[in-house]
Order: sequence, then structure tokens, then C-alpha cells
Amino acid sequence: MDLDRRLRQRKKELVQKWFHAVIETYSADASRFFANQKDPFANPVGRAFREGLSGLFDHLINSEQNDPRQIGACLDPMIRIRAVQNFLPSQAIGFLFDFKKILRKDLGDALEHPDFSDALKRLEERIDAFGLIAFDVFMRCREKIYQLKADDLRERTFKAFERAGLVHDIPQANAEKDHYH
Amino acid sequence: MADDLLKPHELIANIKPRPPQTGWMDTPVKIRKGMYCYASNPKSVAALGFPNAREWNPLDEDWKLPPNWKEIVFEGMRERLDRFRTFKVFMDICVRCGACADKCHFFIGSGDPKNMPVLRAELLRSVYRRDFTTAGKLFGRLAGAREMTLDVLKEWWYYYFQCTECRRCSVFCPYGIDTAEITIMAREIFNLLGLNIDWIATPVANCYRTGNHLGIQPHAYKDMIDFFVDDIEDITGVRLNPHLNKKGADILFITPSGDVFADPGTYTAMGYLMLFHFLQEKYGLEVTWSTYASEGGNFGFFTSHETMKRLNAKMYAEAKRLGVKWILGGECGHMWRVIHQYMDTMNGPADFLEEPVSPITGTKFENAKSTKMVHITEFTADLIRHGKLDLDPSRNDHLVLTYHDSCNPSRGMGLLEEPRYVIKSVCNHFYEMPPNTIREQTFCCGSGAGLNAGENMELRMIGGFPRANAVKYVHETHGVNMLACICAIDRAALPTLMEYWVPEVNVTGVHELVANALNLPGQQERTTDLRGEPLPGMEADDE
Ligand code: SF4
Ligand code: SF4
Repeated sequence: MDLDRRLRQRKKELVQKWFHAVIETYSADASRFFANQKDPFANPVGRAFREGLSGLFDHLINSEQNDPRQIGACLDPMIRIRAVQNFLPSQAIGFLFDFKKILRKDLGDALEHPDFSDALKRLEERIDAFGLIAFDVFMRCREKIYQLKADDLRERTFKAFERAGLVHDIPQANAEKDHYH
Repeated sequence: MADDLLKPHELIANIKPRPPQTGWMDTPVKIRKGMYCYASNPKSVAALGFPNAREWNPLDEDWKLPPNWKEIVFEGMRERLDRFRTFKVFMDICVRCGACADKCHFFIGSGDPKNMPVLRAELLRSVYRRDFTTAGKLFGRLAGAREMTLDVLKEWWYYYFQCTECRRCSVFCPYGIDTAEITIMAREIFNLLGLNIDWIATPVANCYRTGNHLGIQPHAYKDMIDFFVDDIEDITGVRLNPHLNKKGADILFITPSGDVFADPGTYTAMGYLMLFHFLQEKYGLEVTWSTYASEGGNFGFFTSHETMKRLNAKMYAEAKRLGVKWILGGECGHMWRVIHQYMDTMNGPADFLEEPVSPITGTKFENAKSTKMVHITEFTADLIRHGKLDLDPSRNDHLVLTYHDSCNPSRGMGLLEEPRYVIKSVCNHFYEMPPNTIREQTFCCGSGAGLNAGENMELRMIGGFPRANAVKYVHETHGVNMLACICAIDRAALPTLMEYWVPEVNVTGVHELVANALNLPGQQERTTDLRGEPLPGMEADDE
């Protein structure tokens, strides 16, 4: 049996374990909720990770899939959430690498088999590559947040004023005060 | 040496976040950037005569509180427990059943347990127990009581400014406990110590001085209206002649200043103007705007009951001065909560006004009998129902709509059907979001109750995520490209929210849609919508 087949067979269990590794990064109350509330609209974070990890798993084991845009699109909904939650950048994307540990544990003794270990090495390299893409996605999200912070007031009010030719004596926007450290 | 280094996967394992597993009382607050709003500008605090106006920074150890701050908190609580029965009852009756726990958009998005409404309330309740109940005094922590400390105060401040007073939690509470009211009390207490946020304090000071949140003076207000009139003429060929401060007009119209001064609310304001013009031409109805009552919104509501009352007073005063029959109110959220639930008792009775009846259809607006103020979607829905408007919905055919129930009009006043009826009458493509995200169960925009600043963007994005998630769903399944709402804060906050989560979807007010569809007497062939976008079939050839 090759690794691919084995992974395909165990997809459900592996994705489930991965999901739990992700939600353990939240408080006990939150991980209970993210895991148990199955309604996708009552629990959009849970939904994003359930669907996202399953899709990511498919991309990972499909060695033909090397399009960073598609992989990024799959990572995006998950990273986008973690980019505005209470995480350091490393923590926000760290869940990707958790999958290595999950894999090794799941394969157990089978790892000793040379066919498996080579295939596993390649898979781990893919995980690393996905990690780099995740980093790009994370940065895009953060840049968006900074842009929204800077533009928020200007976009809405100043633009209307500008259109009307009224851009005099406008109160200084707080967004431009510099006590944000 | 090298052997001591962690392998990459071990390193990752070690930097995995380990959320505190301590009990909530033992988990001290950490004020995180992106999640809080800047401290109030001392000038704004002083302008309203509030105590302890000074520069301060929430990130500093020292919040420059008055030495007797604990006494002030205690007295502030005592006074409010006596004055507001709801507050006292909500402090006493929670059985911690947890039904509300996972209903707050901030918890759903962030996973921070202190954003569970039950725990948010418990932050204050624990202090209440110790200071105001016998069990708490005797048994302390065993009875869920804790002492007021500076850390507790900071925790209050951080989390009561992470509540948008949306009341979604109260819908699910078997006892009807409304955490929003607890937040309201907490914020009143903060104001006794000079602990407001600037996004609230400065608009309130502006509003007190010039009548609106941005501090815009009457001439600029008029300039904006004139500018709309020019724009509407370009689009429709019809020159409007709106009334400003007109004595003896039939109806006074009051709307949030955001409609006049901020995109995309401005298009909604153009919509109102066109509707009023149509009604004057067809039925001789005179509606006047006011540069004095130039703000329907009321950030005083997020400050204290007294401040809300002060800012609200201009509505009736202006109606009286102008001698109108009754007041029509624009599309706003918290403005309607104030009008519907407080105005009459605060600044009424407005016995100089008539009980509102539509002069065009004869409909009596029963629910506005005491406040004398009618919501514009109700007014317009009634006009449409009686066939009084000349509408061509195909001018909205480039839009696929969904509707976001703003928290206050839906949960606060039960305005659920009218906006939908109006939208469906003026648009051909409308799809609802999933049922557990609309109507009474609607998800907040995440930026209400004065939290729509720029510096707390992470908070806004995470709190608005459940709403955005439902929009994304209808975008993906039905091709929805426009999110309609009847709230000025929504019109300001949702475009930002959409830009982060569902950038393909724009935001509109309902009366922008009405005006796109409305045929004005004597109009030229319309080729664009109010935003200047070409109408379907009117796109200019590229060549
Ligand atoms: S009122 Fe809204 S924001 Fe406040 S705790 Fe309840 S659900 Fe959360
Ligand atoms: S639902 Fe009501 S009674 Fe139950 S925990 Fe929440 S506030 Fe308390």
C-alpha cells in the first residue's frame, strides 16, 4: 500500500485530529463551542476550519497541485480569521505544521517502511511549502487591516466632502493621531 | 549545543498558543491593540462637564483616576441599582444556564470567554455580589463575589467596550436578561471616572455644540444638500428644491448626519430628497430638513442617560419651532432605539404635535402615536402599498440584494417586514440570508454602540465575522452583490467589513434603492443609478 492510498483512507480521522489541534489553541469554552456547534452560521469559525482543513488535506496529498493561488485560496478563510484573533503571526499559521505531528503519530510503525518514509518526507516538504504560502496570505490580511485602519474615516467622510468640494475645516481624524503603539 | 536546539516541529509545538486555563477571575486582563478604542480627548470630556478630563492612555499602568475612585464606583452602582429596576433585577436573577453564552458575535468570532454575555455580565455582577448582597459579603469567592480593584476596573473597561449593545443575547435568555443594559450601566460608571473612549466622547461634544457628530455647521450642511441637488439633476434632469428649516412645513425630517456627510449614506440622502420631491409634486406634501436637528444619531446613548437626553432634546424642540405636524425619521439604528424607547418619557410629551397620519394614504401610524415620530421605511412601505409611488424596479436590475436587519430597528422596535417590503417592491433580485442570522436573531455589524473607530479594526472584523459569513454565503449561492441596511452606522461600518471578508459585496441604504426605481415627473431618460454607475443596457460601448 502506498502512502497516498493510506492517507486517503484515513482522511476523516486525520482531518478530525487536525481540526482538534487547531481549536485547542483557543480557550476551553471556545474550543468546546467551535467543536460542538454544527450550524455553519451559528459557528462560522468552526465551519471555516472544518471545511478549510478538509480542502487543504486534499491539496496536500495531491502532488499535482502546485498552484500557489489555489492553495492560498484554500488557506485564506482560515488565515483571515486567525489574522484578526489574538495570535502572534507564528501562532496564526502554526496550525499547518501541527499536521506533521499528527501524521507521524497516525502512521506509527508504518513509518519504518522505506516507501513510506520517503513519501512522508515529500509530504512534509509540501507542508513547509504550504506554510510559506500561508505566510503570504497572513501578510495580505494584515496589510488589509492596516489599510482599513488608515482609510476608514477618510474613505467615508472625506470622499463625500471632496465630491462636494467642501474639504475645508474638517475635524482631525483620530485615526491619524499617533498614539497607537 | 546544536542538539539543544528544537527541531522545527518541536519549536512550533512550543510556540503554540496556550490559552490560559485558569478560572476567569484569575485570568488578568491584557489590553491588546486593535481591540480597544483610544481614550477620550480631555477637551471633549470637559465640553460636556464630565469629571476627570485629562490625557490618559489605556495601555499605561496609571489611568490617572481620582484617589477615591472606588467610592465613586460604589456610589455610582448604588445609585443606579436604586434608579433602574432592570439593572437590579439583571444583577440578581441570572441562573447561569448558559443559553446566552454562544450567542454574542464577539464570542463567536474571537473565542474569548469574557465575550460570552453571561461572563461579560458576571464581570460586574461579581463586584455587585460582594458589595450589595449578604451572601457575597459573607462568603466572598464561594458566592461568586470579588473585590473591586484596578485590574477589575480595567477588565470592565476592556470588555464593556467590546459589547455593541446589540441585545442578541437577550433574545435567547429565558429570563430576558439584557446584557446591553448592563453595558449601558458600566459605561455610565466609566463616565463618572473620565473613562470614555474618544470615538464616543468627541462626537458627543460636537453634537452638543453644533447639533451633529462631525461638528458640521449649518452652512456646510446646506452645501451638501445643494451638492446632492446638482447631482440628482445630472442623473434625472430634474431640479429639486428641498426645504431647509421651513416653518409651517407638514413634516420635519431628521436623519443621522452620516447620511449627509459620509459615503455611501450620501446616496441614501439623495434618495430621501427625491422621494420628498416626488411627494411634493404629486401630492403637495411639504417635508423640511433641519440644520439644527442635523443629527438623528445619538452617541449620548452610549455615554449616559442624561447625555442621551440632552442630545435628543433638539428633535422635539425643532419640531415645535417649525410648527410641523409630526416627525419623520431616516434610516438609522440606535437613533430609533432612543426614539422608540426613551424619547417620549425623556423629552416628551410632544403634545404640540399631531398623532401621525399619512396625509397621502390616511394611514394612522399607531405605534408612533406617543412619540409622534415615524420611521421612513414604514412611511414608504405604506405609500407603496397604496400604489402612491411610480416605480420602475428594473433600474435596480444590476443589483442582487440581501438585507441586514440592523440590531436596533429589528430587536429594539420590531421593524422587520417594512424594509423587506420596500426592497422587494423596488428591486427584482432579493435573497434572504439564513434564518438564524436575520430578523430577531440578526448578527450585529460588530461596530455598533460607538465602536466603529479605526484603531479597533481587529475587534470590528472579528465581531462582524458572523454577519459577513452569512453575506458570503448568499454571495456564493445567489450572486448577491449588494447588502441593504437601514442604519447609518451599518452604512459606515459594513463596507469596511465587506472589504475584509466579502469584497465583492457593496452596501446601500434602502432609500437609495427606492430612488433608483422612482420615476420623477418630467425626468429625462435615466442612464445611471444614483452612484453614477450605468444602468443595465446603458453601458457605454468600449470602442
Ligand atoms: S448585547 Fe450584543 S454585544 Fe453585548 S453581550 Fe449581548 S450579544 Fe454581545
Ligand atoms: S441566558 Fe440569561 S439566565 Fe442564562 S446565563 Fe445568560 S443571562 Fe444568565
